[in-house]
Amino acid sequence: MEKKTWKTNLFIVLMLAPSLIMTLGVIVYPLINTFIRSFTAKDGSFTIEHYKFIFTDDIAVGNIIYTLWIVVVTVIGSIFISYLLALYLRFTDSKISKFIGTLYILPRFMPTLVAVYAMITVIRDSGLLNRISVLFGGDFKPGLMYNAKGIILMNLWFNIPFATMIIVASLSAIPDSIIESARDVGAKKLNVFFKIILPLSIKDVMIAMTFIFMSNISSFTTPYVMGGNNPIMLGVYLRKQFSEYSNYELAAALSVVMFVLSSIPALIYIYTNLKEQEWEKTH
Amino acid sequence: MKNKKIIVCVLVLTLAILMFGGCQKEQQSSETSKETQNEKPKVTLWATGSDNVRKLFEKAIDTYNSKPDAKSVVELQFIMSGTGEQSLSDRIAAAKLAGQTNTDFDLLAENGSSLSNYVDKAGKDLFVPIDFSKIPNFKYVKMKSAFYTEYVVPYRGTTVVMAYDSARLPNPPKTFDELTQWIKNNPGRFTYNSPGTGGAGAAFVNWALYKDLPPEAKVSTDEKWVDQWGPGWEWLKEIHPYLYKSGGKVVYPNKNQGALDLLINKEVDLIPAWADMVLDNLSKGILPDTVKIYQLDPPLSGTDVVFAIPSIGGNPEDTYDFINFMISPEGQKICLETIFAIPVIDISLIDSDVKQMVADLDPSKFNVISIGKLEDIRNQIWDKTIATLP
Repeated sequence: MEKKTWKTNLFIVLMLAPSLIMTLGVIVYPLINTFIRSFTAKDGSFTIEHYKFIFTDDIAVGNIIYTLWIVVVTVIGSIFISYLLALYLRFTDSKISKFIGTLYILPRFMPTLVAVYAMITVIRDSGLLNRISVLFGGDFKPGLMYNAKGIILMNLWFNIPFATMIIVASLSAIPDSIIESARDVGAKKLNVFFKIILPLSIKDVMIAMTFIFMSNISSFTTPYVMGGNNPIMLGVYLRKQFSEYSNYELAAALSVVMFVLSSIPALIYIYTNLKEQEWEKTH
Repeated sequence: MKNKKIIVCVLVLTLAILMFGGCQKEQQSSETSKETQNEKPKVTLWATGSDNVRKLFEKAIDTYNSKPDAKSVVELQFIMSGTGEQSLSDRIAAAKLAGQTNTDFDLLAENGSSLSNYVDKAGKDLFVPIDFSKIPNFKYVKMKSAFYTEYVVPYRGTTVVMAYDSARLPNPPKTFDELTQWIKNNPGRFTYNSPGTGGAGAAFVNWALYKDLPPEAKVSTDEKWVDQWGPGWEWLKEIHPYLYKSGGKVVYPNKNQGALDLLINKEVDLIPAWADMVLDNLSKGILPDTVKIYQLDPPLSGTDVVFAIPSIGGNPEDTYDFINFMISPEGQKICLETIFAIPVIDISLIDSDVKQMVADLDPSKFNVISIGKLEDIRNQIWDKTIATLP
């Protein structure tokens, strides 16, 4: 390894400077600003009134519960489906699985708004499903628009490819030889799954869960276009606070609450990661 | 070590290219504009609204700037509504309150009813009085602006109307009582967009709230009127169970286009909508040609859209020529044909095939409701009392 001279040090600093300045200016400074503003009353004095409102007002609490509910269902649903899909893609070697393997990634390349409107044309009460049912003499109304069901469906659509990608990568890292040797000594398929495959991939599943949770708790486009009027997801509620009610201080407090909610899974993830490393050390 | 040197060189070069590239581009553009435009004064026009307003001004400015006798060069700064609309009034007010006097806020195009937002924030001396003698075409302007008459020049009108599909609804309800009865007799066939997400729904809610209030209430930002809204809210609650349902629950679509989409897809038969949006959708064939518009009695609110000259911009004199162009028959024709705007001059002066489409919308009968900051309160009450209904 090269000796560190002042030149290389300067070089490192120079390389880091742009991203550091960007982070400080665009993330850290507004964050601090928002945090301070969330404790400021309209007349500039200190107050915790905004936080009190968020956790006591019926509508605000309803929105928080509604958001968490949608996000949790999205996380569990997309991980469950993705895991099954990933298992299929990893352990089946056929033309169909290869075809699905290239196809499942497609939604990642579609702009959010385009995908949302495409979904709406299919699932709205006068959409494709309804028109097909009318052809056969029925009048099927999916009832998925303007409520949680539609939002969850759309979230699954967006997150399954992402989660599958991560889990497939994780499963691919499990060598065939381990599974084969376990089968050789008589392990049943379920045993192989719970004793070998799941423990070896759970870490990446956690990563996928964390990311899905964080990206969905602050989602805006899908709930804004597909959601109802009450309750609403926190992203839409936040927009209402600043652009419809001009209530900037409450909006700041709401941002902080959303930030904290997103940090919880991140902290859990980091914590479990650290623990695991210690466990690895002692053995 | 060699590798690092190469990396450093590349980095420095990229930075240098980026910086010089940026400078050069600016230089070039200013040079070309100087060459072709013979040192005419530059006027920056600030406007806000939906995308159709942007299209209108791009077309009008292109036409104006390419005229050999144009006295200035107009440039557009457009702020799309719903993304940063709040910030146009905020920005101008902030510049004014910070004591800036030489900004590029030379000319502003805004809804007459939104001007109170600006004046509320920055004071009435934000705008300069207009010297109408310098705008010869003003004598043809028939539309009277509702506010700050000496500070504004109206250049088009816009109004919310009722849109209905005549194939399914041959005789739409015209009065308040007829509408109430029709909504109750035809559950699920009427809707309006949530008022915080678009002007059509907001106008419908205003219509209900201000139906029986005295005329002075309609143009007041005094909070005492909030207490008088009670009967309006009661009526909105009363019709709530009979509105459009999805998944067994009454829901209000988001955005003006959300309600229009429901009409397009035949899920409802009657909605309040912006006249120009309906006509635009009709001309593109998005709405079936059986869709027609009409006005309720009393009418849904409309407004004049005006030019105003901020006192913190450049020389007001430079802007008059462009304003004059916009209210000329040629400018009015562009407004009419680009976005189906209601002309401010006598419609017979305009030579256009589409003028029949707006002929019924008489700007002199506009029901102007301008309540400034009360809109925020209205949206909050709506979200609390109407949106939460089961």
